[in-house]
Amino acid sequence: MITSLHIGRRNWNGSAPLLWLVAFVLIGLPLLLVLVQAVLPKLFDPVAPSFTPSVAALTRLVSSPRLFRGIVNTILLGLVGATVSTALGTALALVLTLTDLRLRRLWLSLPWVVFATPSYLKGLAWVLLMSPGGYLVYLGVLSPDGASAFFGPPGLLLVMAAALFPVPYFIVRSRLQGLGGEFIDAARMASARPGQTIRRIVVPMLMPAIGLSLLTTFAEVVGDFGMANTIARSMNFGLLTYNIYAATASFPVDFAAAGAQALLLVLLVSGSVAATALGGVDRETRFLSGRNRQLMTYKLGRWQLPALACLALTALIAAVLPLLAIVLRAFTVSLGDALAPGNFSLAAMRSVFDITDVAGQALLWSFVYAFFAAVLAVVFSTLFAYRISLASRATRLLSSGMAMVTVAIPGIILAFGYILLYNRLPGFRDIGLYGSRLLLVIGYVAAALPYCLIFLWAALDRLGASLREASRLSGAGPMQHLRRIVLPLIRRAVAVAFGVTMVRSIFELPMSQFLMPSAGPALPALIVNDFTQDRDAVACALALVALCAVGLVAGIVTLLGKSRHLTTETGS
Amino acid sequence: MTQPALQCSALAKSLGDKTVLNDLAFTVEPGEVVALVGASGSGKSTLLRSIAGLISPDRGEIRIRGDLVWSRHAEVPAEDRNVGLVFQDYALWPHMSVRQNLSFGLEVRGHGREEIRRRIDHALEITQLGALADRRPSELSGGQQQRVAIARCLAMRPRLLLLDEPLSNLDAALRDDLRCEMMRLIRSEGMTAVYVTHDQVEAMAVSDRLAVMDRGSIVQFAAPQAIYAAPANAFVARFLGGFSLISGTAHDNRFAVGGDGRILNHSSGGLNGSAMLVVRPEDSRPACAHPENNLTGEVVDSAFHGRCWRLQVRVGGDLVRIDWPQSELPGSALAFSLPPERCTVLPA
Repeated sequence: MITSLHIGRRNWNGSAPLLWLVAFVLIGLPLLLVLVQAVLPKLFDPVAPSFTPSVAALTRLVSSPRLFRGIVNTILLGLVGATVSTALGTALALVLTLTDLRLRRLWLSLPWVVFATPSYLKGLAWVLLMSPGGYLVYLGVLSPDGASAFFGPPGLLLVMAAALFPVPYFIVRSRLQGLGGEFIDAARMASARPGQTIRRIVVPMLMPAIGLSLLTTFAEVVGDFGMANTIARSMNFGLLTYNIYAATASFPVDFAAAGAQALLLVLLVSGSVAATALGGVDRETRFLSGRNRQLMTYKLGRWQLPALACLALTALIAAVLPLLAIVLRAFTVSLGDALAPGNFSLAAMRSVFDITDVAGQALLWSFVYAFFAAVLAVVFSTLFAYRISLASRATRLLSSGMAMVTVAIPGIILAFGYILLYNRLPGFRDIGLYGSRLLLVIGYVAAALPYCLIFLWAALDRLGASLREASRLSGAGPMQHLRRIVLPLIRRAVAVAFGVTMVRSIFELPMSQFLMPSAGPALPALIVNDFTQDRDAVACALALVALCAVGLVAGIVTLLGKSRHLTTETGS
Repeated sequence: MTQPALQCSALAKSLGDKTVLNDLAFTVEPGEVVALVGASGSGKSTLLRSIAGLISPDRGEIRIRGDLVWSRHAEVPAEDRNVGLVFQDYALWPHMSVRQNLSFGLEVRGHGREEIRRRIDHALEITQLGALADRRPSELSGGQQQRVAIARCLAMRPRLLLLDEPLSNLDAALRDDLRCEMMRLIRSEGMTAVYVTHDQVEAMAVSDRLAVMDRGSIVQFAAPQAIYAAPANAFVARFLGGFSLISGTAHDNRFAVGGDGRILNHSSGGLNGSAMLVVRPEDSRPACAHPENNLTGEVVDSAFHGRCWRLQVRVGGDLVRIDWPQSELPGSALAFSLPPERCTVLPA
């Protein structure tokens, strides 16, 4: 056995049992309880709990027409939605990266705007637009019958594709930017026309990214709760995530059915993650290292106008119309009177800014919850990611694999696990956290942890091992190294993780709905509840104010970042 | 009695089934500069990092100034060994100025403000970095970064300075100048240093003694001049000097060239049987200079090297590199001689 000659020996080996335990309680245990629920349906029975195993809940997935329809709907929507949104995202990435399309900066911001808008807001906006008494009927763009026809699978698919294309766009564009321009130059030297080059050279080289996009979007579609709880629910189009929610929120609660569906959902999502890993589709994001030539851009010529029209139509469907619908509804009294002059009012906005009103309370508290959740999540994940970065390669691989799987697991499953843990499991149940504001914050932290960890690992991976070794040889301990060397170098990643967690937590629907504090609902839950209870003007006003506040903060942070960068450059 | 600055005994390390350090032992005296040279995978970086404390050997002992810093039963962590390491990529902390890079280690060791200032000023002065003290590493040239890396070690006053291929990131034009500058600093401070490089010329230029490593073992450890004059085996001869080897048979002071039969006199007595004749490029002479020690071969290549031409000549089954005053046509026959006292013969 090795003993240190130095009494106060520092722990540089990355072991962190306490942090692992906290991570397990935050994420592992709730997920475990959800999955166990599928085969031990009586585990949390309030009358006679037992460990008797049963597959009854699993067989009901097939035998119950409602549940089975939900599964089929989810898988079909996932497959078609993934295909359509990947096609759209890939086309957009190709056009914006490889052509001289006008108004490029405007179009480049489109995926970000769509990405930043929560899916349930987009779902609610499309209900406002397309319902028989909605804006498009009022404006005469659609007939009431035409509007009703929208509320079916094709309409849902259109909304899904318009909402999810940013993910494939980001993946494909990043791959395109890593692709050396010399490949296209070589094709041109071989006399290939632009169409041939894109079809024969560029697209085949993008296939790994396209595959990754398909799998990621499939996981996104099947795990999405926002659309399922808004527009799909309005269409009476049952989906797995809404059925899980219904099983836990309707009386009598049916945890076994929720657990069985959650197990299936986990299998679907982790299946696509495993396929991604096994297929190696995310490997080698760069074809050449070092001095790649810049990608050349093709001149669109006579195709400029048609391309602009297509982009404008995409922007209209994906961002302009939904956001416009939310803005209009926030400033009007009733949906039916739409743009009638007498229909405009500030009443809904007033209730949002009235902190004695439930809406004002929800807005205020949601920012408070999100702030504390972001602080806790970022502090914990910085410490945890740092400790893991010091650990062996096997531990690092295991940890990142676990984070990749948990980041893909839909928030609704974790939220359900929190109900089981803090409302049913003896020991945890007795703490009395269920229904408290603190539990909601803890839930937000748990939901944010996997991507915070992945994000910070990426930043830590960029620091060479020699920086750590130089610190050690200077006599520094691991915490001194973290404080003096690592944190200053990854401060931007920490700040971004904080910002993203805060924004995500403000709009996080599953946790807000499952862990609603008894003191009052958080903003996302209130938006959805208000909408379903004909208070859609207040719901839209809440959404609008929250979006503006988040946009304002993001803008200030970006400006500060830019001016700081400018100062540094000037200083140098 | 003065303790050795560094003493490694029976060091062994394996990675999987590959032996990286093989019962390795060597000693470095105070003020001495030792170069570890060897091909990639020979174990030199593993040895250096074991001394630094960044990896642990499997067996053996490491002592610095007599203090045991590693054995199977006791280990002093890297941060407490007071060893300086100049990294291959310098590992300068990019968010800190030059001065902050130098002060960090002193601060974490709890030195007083005045002591820190004094040490940093001294290190900056001798490395001539005073004017750059407030710059960040990204604002420095490669040579300046290297000086900061050295200054950072100097400020710590380490018991031992380790250098891990510190010149490999620099272009060839700078390398010679910076090597001289760096060694002047190290010697002026009287530091003990272990210098790892795969460049044999650099190793010979910087070191008092040279350890040639092969497959985890030190195959020869002596002054560079001694190794150059008498390489211990064919590996050292090939690796270190870029020498050529001619296979043949030795008998007393005579060497019969294999496949040629020509007999040469040599200075390595007492060797009989299969052997290799070491030919240093600069030892070749016109055939008339040593008519009793002539070799004939076919010119394969002729390349201009500035002061001379470097010819490749096929002698028997071996290719021999020699320096020659003029170019020769490839394919032509060439006779040349070797001074007997410069002919070294090694067992095959």
